[in-house]
This record gives sequence, structure tokens and C-alpha cells, in this order.
Amino acid sequence: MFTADRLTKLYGIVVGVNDFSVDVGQGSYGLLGPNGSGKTTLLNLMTGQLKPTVGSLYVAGETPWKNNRLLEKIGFCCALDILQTKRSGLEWVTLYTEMLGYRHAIALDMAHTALDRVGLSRADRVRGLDQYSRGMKQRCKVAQAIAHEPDLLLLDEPFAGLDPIARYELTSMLTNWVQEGRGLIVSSHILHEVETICENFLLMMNGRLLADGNVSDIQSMLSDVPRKVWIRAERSTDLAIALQASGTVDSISFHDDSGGLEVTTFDAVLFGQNFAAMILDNGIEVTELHSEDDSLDSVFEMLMRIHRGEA
Amino acid sequence: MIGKILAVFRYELKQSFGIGPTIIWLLIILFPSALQFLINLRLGGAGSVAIEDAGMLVVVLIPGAVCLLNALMSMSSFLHIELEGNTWPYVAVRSQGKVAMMFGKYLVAVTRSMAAGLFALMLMMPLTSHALETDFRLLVGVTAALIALSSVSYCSLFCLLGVIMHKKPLIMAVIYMVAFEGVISILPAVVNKITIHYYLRSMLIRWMDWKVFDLPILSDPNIFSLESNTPLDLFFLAAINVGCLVTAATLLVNKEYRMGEAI
Repeated sequence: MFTADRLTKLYGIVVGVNDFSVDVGQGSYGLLGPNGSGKTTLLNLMTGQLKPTVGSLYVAGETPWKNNRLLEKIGFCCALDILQTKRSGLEWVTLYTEMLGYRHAIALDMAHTALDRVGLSRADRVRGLDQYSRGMKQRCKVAQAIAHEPDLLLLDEPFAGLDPIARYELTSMLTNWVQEGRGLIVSSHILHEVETICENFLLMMNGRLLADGNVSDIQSMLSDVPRKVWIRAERSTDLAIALQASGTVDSISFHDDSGGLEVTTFDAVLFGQNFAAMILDNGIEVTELHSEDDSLDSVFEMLMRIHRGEA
Repeated sequence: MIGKILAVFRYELKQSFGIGPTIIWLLIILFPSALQFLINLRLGGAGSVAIEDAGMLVVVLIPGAVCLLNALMSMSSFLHIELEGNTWPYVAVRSQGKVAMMFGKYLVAVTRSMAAGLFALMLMMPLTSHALETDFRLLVGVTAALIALSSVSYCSLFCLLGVIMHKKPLIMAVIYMVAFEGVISILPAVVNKITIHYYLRSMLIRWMDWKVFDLPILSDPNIFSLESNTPLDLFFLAAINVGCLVTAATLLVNKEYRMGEAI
């Protein structure tokens, strides 16, 4: 779907994307990272709005910069809110569909279909955009991106401003989009929604690619990383001594509040197997026990810690 | 490409007739008539006025002010509005979208500017004609032609300025207008040939068959292209227009525009 080789984009002295190399096949990808990690810059490079400073980028086998042919195959929704227009959502989506080269009557039909698909009602779509909520504008932005049924859909923070129902509807629409075999890249920091839609992930920080692959691939990369377990017990000092003696933990630290322990272990399975027997043998009452789960959230948190040299 | 330009034209023309822009547009149209009305009151209807005096006022106020102001307000901020309104990415990811957007908005600006000029002329003529010594039909025809030329030319000029100085377009356009079209164009030097006003006023006196020394203002022969002819003046004006539009389109296609501070 796209290939980057040492892709770098500088804004003066600010680094947008830094030495980014990846080869991404057809499918659905979640582009994840904190604010300022370079997600928007990468999408802008992919849509030909920006020119790489160094390195190369190919989308569907073509360089995006000043490539009109490629633009016809792409649908793009940017993260920023639409401002300063009194025209209706329908007119707005129709305009951008006409600007793809469709005649007015055809573009109007395509705009209606796209707005139906994103769930903007017939009554709402003829109101002025300046009267829309952020969620309604978001639906319009997605509609203009999908109206021409592109091969590759690039969405920058598409869930921003959507209420739970709209989020669910957009998630369903995008899931169907992926099931139809079309390409999708979704940039987001709402991880669980991306996890629902996308099979694969690109994790970025400071303009660099931290990791890519599906959740299992990323977890396997983290097999050597110690996992954290949080425990609250009445006799926390005795528990710490017993844990140290068990040889299943790497480090133990006490929370500021009494009774809380943060334990790191390289072998979470062995730790789990021994823990119950250990507290029974020592007569320690544990009131709380939880570990990092396997969600993308925790995987991402771990990668961040590795990147920062904390793990 | 033409279909895309027309799509932008349709959309932007509707957009331009919002309440705020329409009120400003009407005020600009009414301004020359109001000024002429005040002049008539001052004269008290006594005597007649030389056509050079009345004609210069018409031409300075309508093609030189109404059309110029409309062009400045409609065209100079065309890119700024897209960037500030966060709609530029949707234009930029359309094949030939940037150029289609520019020409679509250019046509809207020319249409609004010409319409404003013609309406202003229609309103001003009844107030002017009674005081003229001679038939005013020639003046109306010449002014109408100058309105067309002025609208097309100033819109091209402000289109280029809007692309080059897209962050503060109105301020920069006003500064440019005062410096070049206001001051430099009336300097008796070769540099005035790069201004649009130079060609417009030269065609005015040629078409009206006026003598430079009879003019109430700007009566210096060095600020007119007297040795030239109309086709040559039109050629230079067309060259300025094409040059501005081609340069603007080239810059739009080749320049990166970054919105907000998102990385």
C-alpha cells in the first residue's frame, strides 16, 4: 500500500518525520502515537500536500508529490475542524466530489450516498455547516473522503468530536470498508477504536517508527520486557520479602500510600503460578492485584518506555 | 478542468452573497453616487461641468475605486480563507484542485467586481449627466470597458499577491495598492509602466479624445502612454494578467502550505 525509505520531513529546525522506513502491504492500519509524533505529517506526505525533505515515499507504487493520478485513488479526511463556511453539508460534499471530475448531477447523487453512509440525516445535510456540531462536521469530512469510493482511505483523527453512537456507526462503516478489501489508514490516539477496525498498527513517536505489525507481532517484540504487576496487601513489607525470596520478580517498589507494591517480572506466567501458593503459605491477605493487560494501550505504553530507555 | 472551475465558481458565488459580504458590496457600489450627490449639492445645480472633470471623477471612482476595492476584498484573501478555514487539504488532495480553486474564485471575484462597477455606473450617471456639456454616452461606454479591464486586471494582480503573501493578504494588498497603484503609477518615470492604472488611464484619454493638459488632475503627459496605441496597451495589460495568473498557479502547485501547528 505504501513504502517509505528513510523518509524525513523537516519544518525548518522542527522534525516532522524522522528517518521513517516501512513497507506496508494492503490492509487496514492504525497509525498511533502521541501528539506531535508525526502522524499528520506522514499523512500529508502520503497525500502529496508536503514534499519529503530526505528519503522516498511511494503510495500505491507512485510518488505522491504533484501526482494528480494518484490523488484520484485516495480519500483523505484531515483532523482540523472545518470553519468559515455557511454552505450546507450537502453542497460542501458535492463541491469536493465535483472537484474530482464528476458532473454536478452525478456528484450530487454520490454526495447523498456518502452522507447516508456516514449517517447524516437528510434534514441536517441541507443546513449550513456553521450550524453543525463538531460531530456533524466530522461526518461531512468523512463523507467527502469516501464519496468517490477510493482505493485507499486516509483518516486523521476521524473519531474526534463524535458522540458514542456516532463513534459506533463510524467504526461499523470503517469495518465494512476494510471487509470490502479496501485500504485504510486511521490515525488516532483513541486506541481501542482503532483496535476494533485495524488489524495492523504503525506506532510513531518523535517522527520515528517505534514498531509495526499486528498486536501479536508487537507483543512478541516485547517478550524480553519486564511486565508490571500492582498489588495491594495489608502486610506489604512481608509480601515484598516473600516475593523477593520466590525469585520470580525483577524489582519491587513501594507506593507512597501504605500497602501498595509495584512489582516487575520477566516471567509473568511463572509469577502468576507461584503467587497464590506464596500468599497462602505466608498468610498474607491481598486486597487488590492487577497487571498490564494485553490491549494495545499497554503495548503502546511499554514501547514508549523502551523508547525512553525506561525499560 | 473546466468542470472543476465551474463547480468552484457556482459554490463560491453563492458563498459570496452572504449578508456581511453583500452589505459591504452594496456600500462600495453606493459610494461614488453618494459622493457625486454631495458634489451636486455643493454646486447647487448652477452651471455646467467640463466632461474632463466629471469624466475623471467617474473613472477614478468606479474602475479605479469600486472595481479595485471589490477585487482586493474578493481575491486577495482567497487562499488565506481556505487555509484559515481548514478546507485547504480537501482542495489540495483533488487532482488539479489547487488551480481549479484559484480560477473558480478568480471568476467569482471578476464577476462581483464587474457587476459592482456596472451598478455603480448606472447609479452615478443620472447624477452626472445633467451637468455635462456634451453627450455622456461615450463616457458611459468607455467607463464600462474600463470596468471590465480593471476588474480582470486587478483580480489577477490580487490573486498573485494573495498567493505570495497569504498570511496577511489584505494588509499586504492595501500596502501594495497604495504604494504601486497609488504612488508609483503617477510618477513620471518608466517604473509606472508596471502598474495597471497607467494603462487604464492612457486608454481613457485616448478613447475619450481628451487632451492631457485639459485634465483637472494627473495632467502630466509623462504619466500616460501617449506614444503608444490601444492594441499595444491591451497587449501589455494582457501580459500582466497572464503573468500574474500563471505565476500564482505555479506557486500554488509547487509550494507546500502547512495548516495549523499539527505535526
